[in-house]
Amino acid sequence: MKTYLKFLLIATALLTSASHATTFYKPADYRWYLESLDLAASFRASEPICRVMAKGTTFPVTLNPDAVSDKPKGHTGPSTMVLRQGLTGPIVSTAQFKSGQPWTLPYLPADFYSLSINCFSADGGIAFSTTCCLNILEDSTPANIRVKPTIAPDIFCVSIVEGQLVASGLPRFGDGITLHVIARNQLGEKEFEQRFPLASGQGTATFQLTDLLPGQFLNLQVGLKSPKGLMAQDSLFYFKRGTCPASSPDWAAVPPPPSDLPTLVVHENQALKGSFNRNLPGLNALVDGMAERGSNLINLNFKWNHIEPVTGVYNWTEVDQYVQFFTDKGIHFGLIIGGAIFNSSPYDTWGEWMMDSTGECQLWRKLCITSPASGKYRQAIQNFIRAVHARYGRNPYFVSWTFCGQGLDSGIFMDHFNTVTDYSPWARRDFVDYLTQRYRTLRKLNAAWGTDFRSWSAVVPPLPDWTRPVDISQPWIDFNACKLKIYAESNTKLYDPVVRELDRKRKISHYLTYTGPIEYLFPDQKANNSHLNDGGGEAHQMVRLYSLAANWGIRRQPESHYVPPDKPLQLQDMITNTMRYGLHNSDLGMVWNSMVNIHATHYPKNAKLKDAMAFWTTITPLLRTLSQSKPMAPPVGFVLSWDDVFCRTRAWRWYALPGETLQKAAAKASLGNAPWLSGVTPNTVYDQLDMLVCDADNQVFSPELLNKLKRFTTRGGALVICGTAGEFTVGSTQAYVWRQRLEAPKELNPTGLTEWKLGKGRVIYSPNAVDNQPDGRFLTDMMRRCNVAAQVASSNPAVQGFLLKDGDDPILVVSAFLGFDRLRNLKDTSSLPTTVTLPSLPDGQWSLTRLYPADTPVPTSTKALQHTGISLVLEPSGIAIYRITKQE
Amino acid sequence: MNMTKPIALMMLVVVGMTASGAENLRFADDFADGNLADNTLWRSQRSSQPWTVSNSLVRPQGAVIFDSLSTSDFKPIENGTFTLRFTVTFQSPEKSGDNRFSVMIRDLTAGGAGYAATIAQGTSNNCCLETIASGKRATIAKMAAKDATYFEPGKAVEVEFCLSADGTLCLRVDGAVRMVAVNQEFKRFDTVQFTERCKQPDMIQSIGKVSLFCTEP
Repeated sequence: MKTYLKFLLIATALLTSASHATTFYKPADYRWYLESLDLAASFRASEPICRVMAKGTTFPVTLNPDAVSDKPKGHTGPSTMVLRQGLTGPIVSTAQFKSGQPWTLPYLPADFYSLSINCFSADGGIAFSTTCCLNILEDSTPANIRVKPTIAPDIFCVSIVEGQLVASGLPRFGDGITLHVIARNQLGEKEFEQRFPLASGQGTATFQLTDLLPGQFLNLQVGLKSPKGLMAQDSLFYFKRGTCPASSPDWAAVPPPPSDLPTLVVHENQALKGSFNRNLPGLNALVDGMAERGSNLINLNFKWNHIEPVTGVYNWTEVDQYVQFFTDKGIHFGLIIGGAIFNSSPYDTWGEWMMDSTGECQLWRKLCITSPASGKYRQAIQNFIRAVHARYGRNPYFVSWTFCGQGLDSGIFMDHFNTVTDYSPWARRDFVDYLTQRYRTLRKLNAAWGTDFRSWSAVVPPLPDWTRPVDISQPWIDFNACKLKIYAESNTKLYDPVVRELDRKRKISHYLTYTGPIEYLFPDQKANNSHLNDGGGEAHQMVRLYSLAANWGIRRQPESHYVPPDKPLQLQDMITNTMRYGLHNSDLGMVWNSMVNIHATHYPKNAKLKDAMAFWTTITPLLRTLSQSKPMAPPVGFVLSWDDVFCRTRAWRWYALPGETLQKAAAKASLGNAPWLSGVTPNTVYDQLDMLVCDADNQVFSPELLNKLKRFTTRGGALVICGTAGEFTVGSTQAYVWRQRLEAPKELNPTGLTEWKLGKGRVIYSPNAVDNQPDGRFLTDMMRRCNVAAQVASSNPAVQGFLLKDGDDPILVVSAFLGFDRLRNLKDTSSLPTTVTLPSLPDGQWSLTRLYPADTPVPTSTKALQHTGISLVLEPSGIAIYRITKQE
Repeated sequence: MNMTKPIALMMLVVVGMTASGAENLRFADDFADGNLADNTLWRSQRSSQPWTVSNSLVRPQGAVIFDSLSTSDFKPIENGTFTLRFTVTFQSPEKSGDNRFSVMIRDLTAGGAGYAATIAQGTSNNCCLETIASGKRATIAKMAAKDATYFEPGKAVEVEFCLSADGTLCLRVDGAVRMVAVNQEFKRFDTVQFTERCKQPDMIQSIGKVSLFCTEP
């Protein structure tokens, strides 16, 4: 009766939840962001070019002069402003402001602008000049306000017209006045200076600039100078589309590498910024270090806009030298491409920022980041891939492409538990496109949504409603479906097809592991043979994500999180994680994203780094000998519902995945390499299992997941389903749909287990979640109940064991794995003794060899390994690896 | 090979020479921006005692012996020609070889090799043209006593230090040739440097309106 009442209450709550009116995004009247512009910052480590200085949601944009500079001292005179479309576009307006008054900008339609500002002192000299970026993201101002901006004739400004410098707003009396042009390249080096005397009486004049080569890109600072000093100045970019140097190096002359890469590749990533010659000491130290560490691939990470500052302008001068350097050294290299964090994409692709449901664009480190729906980004990156291939495609040492994704490698959508993206105008446009495809007519949309939108242009995405425990409303389901489409279109459907059109052979990998429902991208990755990359291989969530990749046969490239990788415990955990699902489909890497010269100056003095590398250089040769190893887990699997992410946590990030408690319990039961399965996992994976556990935090099921669970059970599997699992089902207002579909008895035991048969299999319902028992007993109890034999047992639940198979030999991995989060707060460093047994080992005599830390083989027997076991003591995150060889 | 040649007989010829080819501006800085960072980036020898800009002139503090100010903020010259113009304003009227300053144009990729010219107040003592190589300076021309120049304190005087395509190295003060040598050891220049003796705090010179050109063939 109690269960019935509870069921009724939940059903009522569900219906209430479903009938809860959806609220929709409302664009601001005039949403704008003002950002600083410091192009030199991109040559420093992890610094953005732009930082938000001011923002607002109403027209007009009103700025406080103090907001644009930290040095307004002496600014007691008027100010002038030149507004350009983008950073390289035409002047759209100029404005002058009186001293002491805020700057109220003219009306500007939604677009990305740059502002060149001069602030004068009382004596007429320039107190300071600066350039900022202004992004108008939303604009619904009334038509009467939308007055076309004007260009005042008496404000000094310059533009480039057909290679000539056109200066306007010149003083009427020009005697002794010169125009002083300083041209700097992206490295900040002067390319040329020119001085032009002005004639009197000209408001506008044209001057012949020094010619450029195709692919050259210069920043011009243009000063108007009188004998008394600087009168005004403006800055702009001067460039010529094309490629510099015009020809790529002669890669055909490079002999092919003497050997191919090994099966298990150990790579290193290095960010490369600035002058090759200045970085040479660091590069030489890096190469020496790679040889010592036994690494065999370098992934070169260039800032995209250091090569392509604006679309179609390619300057390979420095990159050619870096590539030539590694080629001459005979080192295979990959290229890391894409991404737009820290404003690294071409300047003319900026402005299509991601937005959350509140309209906020500062979504990562308080910075604005590019929307995955940005059309400018997508077009530009595809052209860049073609340009890279044209430049380096013939280099025999160039072996792989790595893509960084749209925003950054830990998130495509920068969601969090209280933040949902993307509500930017570009994502909203894609959403409307998606809806028109799905519903065809507005009438059908309104019928499905219970809304009254009068036009497609009025349709906006639903807002997350945190008062609902889950949101399975149709607008929300559609919103997530569109996000999945954007997710693929901005990643696997964006990069891979272009590469494969040009290059069938080289590896492709994506920094996507962290980003959320990656499994939806696996079909594309399978089709294009692209791999999965990540930083943070030591994170415990990687267990679930690596498992999903292993299910689909997607090769993985785990990387260390910390830069430099000077934490041995983290590296140990990364190795444990990498080994769980076998090394047959995995590589390994580490990341050096600091300035390259640190390899010569600082790293040699870093004692912790030396310790970490001592472990690394010991373990990686061993891993290479195990490069064909495959997981040998018991036939137990765990459910991970993506729809729970979509509708309950609503955060597309690695830390919001369901299965947290279950994974911990699995580790304690030495089930650390059991597979995880979802509603989109192929049935072939389900078919290999005898028992499946679905924990309570999978509160939302999709019909697809439910179908798979039913299929699994009716074909003979044992499904263990816990607590609130499947309380909600997408497309239904009924609670616990699975009970009907899986033919549950009407009464379920509210305090103990209920078991019933379904087809050839059975379902076991536990009213409780898999709690965080100290010994993982629930899972081992369930395995016994379902007649599933354990492969490994550890007497200490803090130490887990799992088996791999390498040829005919079982490989036992014993690990005191902690993971990234727990290592950050590690206080108890006590040693962890354990005895590990192998209950399912076939009868026979064996030779047991500890491979790491290396030891000599000892003869043993099945009986000894099943009962006496292997006793060992591990430190936190410690790892021991054994080969078990059958003796004839 | 020492390419320096005796100059006495060549003086008349050299003085009358005019540069062929167009002057190509490498940088010009009149310090009107009031700092050493904008337009052209200058570096003081000691950040703790920086050279300061005032009234479009840059000057040391006078406390550091052989204090220097340099810039590499220009596209390096590769063809062995330069014309460096600047103004110098002496503060002290004391006619002394210690009341002097040097200007150098060097190639940092070649260990700072290049040329130097030194001028003192009202005397030819210590006034010379030099080559700089391997950290050592070698005199290639000395100022004749008759060419000693008195700089009216507080008045900016234009100085021109140039190397023409034929190897003539020349120093002019206020338009008049003061020292000449012929030398073609160095072709590449990426740094301009001013050094002041600063023997006494008042023996400082202010530099202004610096511009550097090379000659296009």
